[in-house]
Amino acid sequence: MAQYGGWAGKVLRVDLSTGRITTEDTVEKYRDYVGGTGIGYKVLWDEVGPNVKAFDPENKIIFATGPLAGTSAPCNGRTAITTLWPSCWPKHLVASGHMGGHFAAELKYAGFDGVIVEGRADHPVWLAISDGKAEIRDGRHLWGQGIRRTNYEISREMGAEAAVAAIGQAGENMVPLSVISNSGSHTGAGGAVLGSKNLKAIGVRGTGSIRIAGDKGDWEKAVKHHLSILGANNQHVVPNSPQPWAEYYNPGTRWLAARGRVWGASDPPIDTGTGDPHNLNRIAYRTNSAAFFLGPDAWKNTVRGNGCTACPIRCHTRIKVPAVASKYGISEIGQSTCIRLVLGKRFFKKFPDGPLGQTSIEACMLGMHFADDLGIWDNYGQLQRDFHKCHNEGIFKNKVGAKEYQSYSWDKLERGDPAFLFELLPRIANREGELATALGLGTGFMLERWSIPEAEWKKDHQLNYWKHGHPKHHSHEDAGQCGVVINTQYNRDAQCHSHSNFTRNGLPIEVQKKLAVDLWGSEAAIDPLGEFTPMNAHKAKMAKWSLLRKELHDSIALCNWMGPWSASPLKERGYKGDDSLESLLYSLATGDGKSREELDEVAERIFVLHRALTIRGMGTRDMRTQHDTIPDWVFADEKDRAPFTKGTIRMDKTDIGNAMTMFYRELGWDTATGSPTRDTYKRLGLPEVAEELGKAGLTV
Amino acid sequence: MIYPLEVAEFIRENSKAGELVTAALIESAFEEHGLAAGNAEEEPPSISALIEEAFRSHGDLKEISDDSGIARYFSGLFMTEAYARVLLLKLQGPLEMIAEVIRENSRAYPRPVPLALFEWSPFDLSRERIEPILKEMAESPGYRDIALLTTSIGNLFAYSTDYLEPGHAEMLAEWIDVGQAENP
Ligand code: SF4
Repeated sequence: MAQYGGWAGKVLRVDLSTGRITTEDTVEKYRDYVGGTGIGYKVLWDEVGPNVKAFDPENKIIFATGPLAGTSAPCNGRTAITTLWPSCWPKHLVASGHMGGHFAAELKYAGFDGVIVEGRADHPVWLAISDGKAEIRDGRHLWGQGIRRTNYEISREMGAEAAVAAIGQAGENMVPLSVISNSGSHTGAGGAVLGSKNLKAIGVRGTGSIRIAGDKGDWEKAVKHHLSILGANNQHVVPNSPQPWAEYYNPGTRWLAARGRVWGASDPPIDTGTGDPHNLNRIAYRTNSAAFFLGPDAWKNTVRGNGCTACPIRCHTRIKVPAVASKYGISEIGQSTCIRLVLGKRFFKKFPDGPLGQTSIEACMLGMHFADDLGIWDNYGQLQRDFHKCHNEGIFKNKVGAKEYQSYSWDKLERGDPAFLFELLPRIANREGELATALGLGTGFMLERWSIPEAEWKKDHQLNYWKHGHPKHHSHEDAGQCGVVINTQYNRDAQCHSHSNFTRNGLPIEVQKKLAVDLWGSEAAIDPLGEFTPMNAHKAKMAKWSLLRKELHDSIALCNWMGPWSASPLKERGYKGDDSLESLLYSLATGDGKSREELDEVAERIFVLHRALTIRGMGTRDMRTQHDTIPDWVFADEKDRAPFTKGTIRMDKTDIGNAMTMFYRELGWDTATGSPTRDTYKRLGLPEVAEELGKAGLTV
Repeated sequence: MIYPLEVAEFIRENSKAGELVTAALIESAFEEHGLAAGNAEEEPPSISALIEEAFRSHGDLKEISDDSGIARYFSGLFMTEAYARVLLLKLQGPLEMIAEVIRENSRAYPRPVPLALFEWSPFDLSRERIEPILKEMAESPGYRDIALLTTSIGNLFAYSTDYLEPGHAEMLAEWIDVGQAENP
C-alpha cells in the first residue's frame, strides 16, 4: 500500500449481527474498482446472492468514497451508497445513492476508504469511527429522533467536527423512499436499508490526511487548472445575463452572478459581481440555487452558498426566511439544492401569490425542514407527481378509507397553503395510514399494492415515469437519443449528468458542435434542442462516454453534478474543457499512472459489473426487452407532431431501436440481448463474472 | 501631462465597469483632473493622436462604432466585443436594442428570450417601460418579425419569426422557463 497515495488504505467491515469489526486493504482488494460504486458493486457481486432482498440481513450496504475524496481536488466530497434498492420494482436490484457533504473527507481522514455494513443488530445502534478505530454503540436513545437531533447528540459525543450520516424516522420505519443525510442537507437514498439493520447513524471523526503520491507542484498546478475551467453548478459555463467579460449569455444557466444581484440576507449584503472566470477567488458567487429554483425574490433571502468538501461551487444555497419561524415554528434558515430545494412546493398546483411568490418559498422551507429531518426521499420528484395523479384522478379516494381520506385538509392543498405538508410528510415517514404508506413505497410497489397496471403510468408524459419504480433523469428533453439510452441502464432514476451538463452549458450550438468533434468525433453527436436528427454512431459514443464518466466520478469521488469538465468558460481555450482531468488528478493523487483511455476502461469495468449484477438479479440475459425498456410517452407528442420535426422532443421507435443497437455495439455487448459478451467481460478483467453468469446461462 | 498608458488605463477601468468610452469622454475626464495632453512648452498633441498612440502600444484596446460614426473604445482584457455591441445597441434606443437582441438570440442559439432579460444589466429597462415599447414595436413595420409568447407560468418571451418557428419557440421558452428547473 505504501507506494500509493489518494486512498486512505483500509476498508472497514462491520457485521452488525455479530458485532465483529474488521478491515481490509483497499488497494490489494479493490484497486481495480477504484472506490465508490466500484467497491460497492464488487462487494455485492462477491458476497450478496441474487435472491437476497433489500431488507434481508444478508443484504449489505456499502458506503465508499474514492481516492480524490479529502484532497484539494475541486468537487470531491462524494460518498457512494450502494445496496439492493428497496424501491426498485418488482425486484430489489443493485443501485446507488450519491451523498455529498463532509462525510467522505472525514472518513478518509479517519483512515478508511469505505464502510461495508452487513447483518442486522438486535437493537438500535450507531457506529462511531474515529482515527482508525470503530465501535458499535447503543443507539436506543437516538431511535425515533430526527436527523438533526441525531447529529447533535452524536456530535456532542464525538466533537463538533464529526461528520454524521444518519437516518430519520422514514429510514427507521423502512420507508423505501428514505435517505441517509450528513452535513445538514447532503443526502443519498438508501435510508430504509440502514433502518432494516437497526443502524441509526455513522459518526466519523478523522484527524489524518491524504498523501498525494505525485509531485506537489504538479498537483497544485492540476488543481489550479481544474479551478480555472470550472463553470457554475452543473458546469454551466455561460452567465445567464450579459457580463462585460463574457462573449455569450444564456438566461437558462445556473451562472447567476451579476453586479447588482445581491445575497440580501447576508450581513452586510454581498454583491455577487460580474464573475470574471479568471478570478478564482470568486467562483462561489456564481451559483445561487435558491434564486434559480425559487425565483428572483429569493435573492433577498440568500445568506450564502454552502457545499461539499473542497468544492468552490457551493450549490447548497443557504436561505433565511423569517416568516416560517413565526408562522410554522420551524427554523428560519434552510439550505439545499436542486430537487430537494423544491421538494415542498411540488406538492401544490398553485399558490395564492403565484408560482414564485413568498408562499412557494415557504412551502420549500417546510419541505426541506421535514425531508431533511425525517429523512424522506422524493424519488427525483416522482413522489409528488404520483401524489398529484392519485389525487386528481380520485385514486386516493378509492384506495383509502373515507375516514382517513377526510383526515387530510384537502382545502389547504387546493388553496396552496404550505401547512398541508404538516399532515402529509410526517405520515409518510411514520407509515401512518394507507395513503402515506403507499406513497412511501415508491411508484412500482404503490401501483402493485393498489392493483394499478404500470402501463398506465408509462403512458402519461406528465408523470415522467420510466421503469422499475423510478422516473427519467435527463433523457431526450436534454440530449435526444443519448438521453433515452442512458435512462434505460439503471435500476433507479439514472442520476447521470455527464450529457446534460454539456447540452445545458449555455454555449451557442455552433460552439457546442465544435467541442463535440473533439469529444465524440463529430458535430453530429449533438442536435439543437427540439431539432433532433436520426441516431448515429457519434451519439452512441456520447452515451457510452456519459455513462462511463458517471461511474468514474462515483468511484473516484468527484461530483457528477459538475463533471465531466467537457467545456469551460474560457474564450481563450475556445471554451474547451479538459476531459482528461480525471485521469490527471487520479494519477497524481494515487501514483497509479493512468491515461484517459485507461481510466475510462476501469470505469467500463465498473459499469459492466453493474450490468452483470442486474442480469444476475433479474435472472435473464435478455436485457434489451426485459430491462432496457422505454415508456410509451417518449414516442408521443401532445400536438401529434412527427418525430424529428422542429419543436418536438418526440422520439421515433425504430430510430430508438437503432440507438440501442449502436450503443450495445459501442460497448461490445450482444446487440440482440443487450448483454455483455464473454469476450467483453474478459477484456475488462471480469473473467470470473463471465464464468458465473455462463454457468447460469446468462451470457452470450 | 497625459501619456498613452494613462489613456489605456482609463479605457480599461471603464471596460471593467462595463462602459464604453469616446474621445470626448477621455478628454473631459482628463481635463477634470487638471491634465492636458502634451506638456506646457510644446503644443499638446491632439486627443485623437494620443488615442492612436495608445492603440499602437496597447494591443488590448479596441474600437467599435455604429452608424453615427462616433468611435467608442474598450479593452479586450475586460470586455468582449459581444458586450460592447450590446452597449452600442443600447445607444440606439430601446426599440432597436430589444429587437436586435431578440433577433441575435433567435439566430445564434437558437432560443426565445424572456422579456425579464431587459430588466437586467446592461439593458436596465424597468418593467413598466418594456410594455409600451413592445406595443410600439407591434405597430411598427420594421419589427414585424418580433413575436411574443407566454409560458405556462405566465412569463413573456420574445423571438424573431425570421429564425424560429412558433411551435419551436414555444417549446424552447417552456424549457427555459419551466422545464430546466422541473428537471434539475
Ligand atoms: S457542485 Fe454542489 S453537490 Fe457537487 S460537490 Fe459542489 S457543492 Fe457538492
